[in-house]
Amino acid sequence: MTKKVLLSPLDPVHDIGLKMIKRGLNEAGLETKLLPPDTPAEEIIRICMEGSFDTLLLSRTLGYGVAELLARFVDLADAAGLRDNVRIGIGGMAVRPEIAAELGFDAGFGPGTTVEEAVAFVEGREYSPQENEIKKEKVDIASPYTYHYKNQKIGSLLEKITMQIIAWAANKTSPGVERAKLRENDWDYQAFLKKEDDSKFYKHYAQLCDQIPKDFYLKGVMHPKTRELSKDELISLNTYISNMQKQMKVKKLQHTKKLPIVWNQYGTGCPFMDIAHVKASEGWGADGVVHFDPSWGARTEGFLNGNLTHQEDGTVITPNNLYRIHRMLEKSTLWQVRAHRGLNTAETVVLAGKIGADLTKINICYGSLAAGTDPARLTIDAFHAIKYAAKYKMPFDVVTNEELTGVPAYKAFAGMLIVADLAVRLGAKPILQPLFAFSPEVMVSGQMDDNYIDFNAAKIYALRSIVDAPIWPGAPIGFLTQTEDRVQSSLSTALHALLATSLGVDAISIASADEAYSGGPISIPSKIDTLRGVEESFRFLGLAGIKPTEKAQIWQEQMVIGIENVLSQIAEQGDFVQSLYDGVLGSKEEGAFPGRAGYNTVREE
Amino acid sequence: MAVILGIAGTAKNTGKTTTTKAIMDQVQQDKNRLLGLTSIGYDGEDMDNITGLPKPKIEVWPGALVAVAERSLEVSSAQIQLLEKTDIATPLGKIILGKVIKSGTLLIAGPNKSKELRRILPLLQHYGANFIIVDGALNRIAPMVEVNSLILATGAAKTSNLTDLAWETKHLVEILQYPVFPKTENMVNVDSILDIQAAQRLTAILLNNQGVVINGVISSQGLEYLIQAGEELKGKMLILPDAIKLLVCGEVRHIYNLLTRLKNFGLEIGVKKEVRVTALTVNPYYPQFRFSSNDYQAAYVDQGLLYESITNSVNIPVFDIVEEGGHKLYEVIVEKEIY
Repeated sequence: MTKKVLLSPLDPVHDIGLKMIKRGLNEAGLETKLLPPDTPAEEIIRICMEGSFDTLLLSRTLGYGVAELLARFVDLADAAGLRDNVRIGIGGMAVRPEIAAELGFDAGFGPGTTVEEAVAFVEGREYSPQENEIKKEKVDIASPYTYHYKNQKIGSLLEKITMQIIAWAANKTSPGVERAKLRENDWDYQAFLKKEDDSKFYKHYAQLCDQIPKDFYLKGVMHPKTRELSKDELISLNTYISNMQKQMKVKKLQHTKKLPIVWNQYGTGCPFMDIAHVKASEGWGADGVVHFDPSWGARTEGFLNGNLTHQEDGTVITPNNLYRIHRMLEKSTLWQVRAHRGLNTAETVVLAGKIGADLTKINICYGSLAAGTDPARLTIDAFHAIKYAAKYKMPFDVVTNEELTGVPAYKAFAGMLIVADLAVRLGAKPILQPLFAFSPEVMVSGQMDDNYIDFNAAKIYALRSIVDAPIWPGAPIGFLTQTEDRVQSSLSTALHALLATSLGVDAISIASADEAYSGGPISIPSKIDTLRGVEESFRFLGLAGIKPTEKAQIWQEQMVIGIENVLSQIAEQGDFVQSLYDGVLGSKEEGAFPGRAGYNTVREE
Repeated sequence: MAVILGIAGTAKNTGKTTTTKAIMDQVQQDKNRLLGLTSIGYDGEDMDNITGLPKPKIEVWPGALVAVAERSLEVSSAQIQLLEKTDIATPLGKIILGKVIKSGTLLIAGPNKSKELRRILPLLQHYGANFIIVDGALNRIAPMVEVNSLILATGAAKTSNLTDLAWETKHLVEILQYPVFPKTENMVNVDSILDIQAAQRLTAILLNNQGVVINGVISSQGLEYLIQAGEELKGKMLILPDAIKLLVCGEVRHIYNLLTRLKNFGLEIGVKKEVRVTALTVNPYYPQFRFSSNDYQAAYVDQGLLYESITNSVNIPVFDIVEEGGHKLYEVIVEKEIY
């Protein structure tokens, strides 16, 4: 039999919420009747009883004295015998299950109540707010892609280049590669969890490290900017984690479209603040979090060990620190541990893989042209890192941050495509990461004089015309458009997100509103600023789109020609590593300088 | 037979939880008693949902039996062994019956309507409880028809004007003590009187019969209509299921005035079932709203004056639990128990 629902706004005026619920109930095939606002309690109860309704839904904004008024209604309904057969729900701002229980209702519906929730209640299915909590699952953005080349010319150039890299790498190694091998073969995560003795491993490991880690392992000397957490700190940290987890609810930012997923970074150096940052990101809807490690970590051979706190920005990579972060993540949160630019690239991938990261980050060109690592060294380390990423089934993004020094997009893209092609050949799943940025190239050449849309769109069009691969603009989107003004920063991020969703990319990384100018760890309110802004931009655009001008098409074509020319040059030269030193993928004039860290550490086996 | 004690408040913050805790302390010390605890609302939170002021927490001990909503266990530190899961649904999940196996705090959200409380009380007894406390909720009282002994908590939180409070309390107790008319065989039965048409029918029936039993409630509007019949009501009888049905229809003072006028015309008003008010507790505390900071602060009326004015207004024992503890109150409850 069709259930009959009586809806009655107790508010003097507002009945919009109930009207929306009524529409939903009708669509679900239920019979409804909506009473005018401000119908007296006795009248509502009489109509409900005489009309043989099954359910009564009331709405009322809670305010001063309203709780007593609602309790009185419930009492009257109970005494009149209405509650023997009719279930009563209350909806409105500030209504929570606890308040509904105290007031005596069968259910309470707060802001954000779905029609499904109301229908479930009316149909007498179990009312369980957990059911209506957002169900989130990890999204594998790489899996739908084939990595087939649509631009055959570029495809065959890349094949030539990467076969040369594979041949070059065949008989080479480095301290970083050796540490990764040791970590892969002799370090067991389960043994670590059981706190088994690992002194033998670290004695051997120390021999492959720089002085600072060596002193740490052999003499017990701490890195000057770190210290071990005390026992009390660890206890309160664990309490903090479990308390946070109890009250966690995840949220979705996407509206009609499922993509792009949204990434946020953490890495304050402080284990406590990291938890707050990660939980804020999750609570306000980020789909994934990126581990930021200290910049000295990329320039130091070897990792430290233990529960380390860092007095500056960046959370130190140690097994304990990664374990702690992994443990506190919600099940639906994607976790990326960056390995991309330094002397620990390969080992980072091994550690991240063993501890359970979902993604990593590997590149060669940015790290060796703009982040200080020797090109040969990073090539061999990244080569092995990619193989480990394939083994641990971690997709990774290939950044093009060398654009920020002044390398033009087409050159950065050529470098990115080489790494991506190499990755596919080694069985890994690379994700292309073009910048959405107000880069030096466009500042000088004027591609963004009119708008921020055309040139960013051209990048996506260009990459899509070359290869069928996932695209994740970053990192963060809107780089160099943000200022110290939080409103401006949030809006700029949200608008770039709008462009990203319009272009149908797979993921975006967003900054907090104070990231560009924080001068230290970013703050949680400004993290929430941009998450809220991006959510609103998705809501705003839905399935509609942004239309770039014809410039986007022109720049796309120019970019593809530029990429082809760079790749031809490298293929012709037949030495990828040498071309990095020679500036083919970014010259000194363009602000790209081959790095020195790890220079002369590559040796033949 | 088990004591089934309800603790109802006349308003928020009149000291329901304090009274509940004080009686629980006594039950714990009484070797002949096994506690069964439930609530018609939600109690035990750290802070008041509305005023944001701290609240007393309820603590339970091993052996005690509870009937609470599933999700209230998530925020309780006491460990509860599940005895039975009922199909009674609340906003916080299904009601479960459980036995405390490790002491701790307990958030009690229970069956919040009469019909469900009626099912839960025998279950608590089935598992051995012989002293059941039904913790109240806000100013709600309707489900308390199911208890066999009622404690009313009142105090400055209802109104800090002690004269008003004394009058109100007096009238409240008087209504709850309306006489029991057990013989209603010859009377006409009608449903709840909720509008003018029903009140018209009621008046007509009453004038043509000796008496009427209302199987539900009569609204204050209905009472007002009845008054128009004046002297014609003399000698007639108006019976309600219980006195609580009279209280839920409006402000105590208004209802009392209407009922008194009807009685003055000679209408006899009574109930089928007694709701036994065993004692009153008074609480000088009230949350005072501060306009300057838009929040509440704790405030108190004079404890002695409060106690005296309430004691002088009613014919049942009055206790200030904070001042004197729950010992004497417990004695009164146990002494008045009907076997």
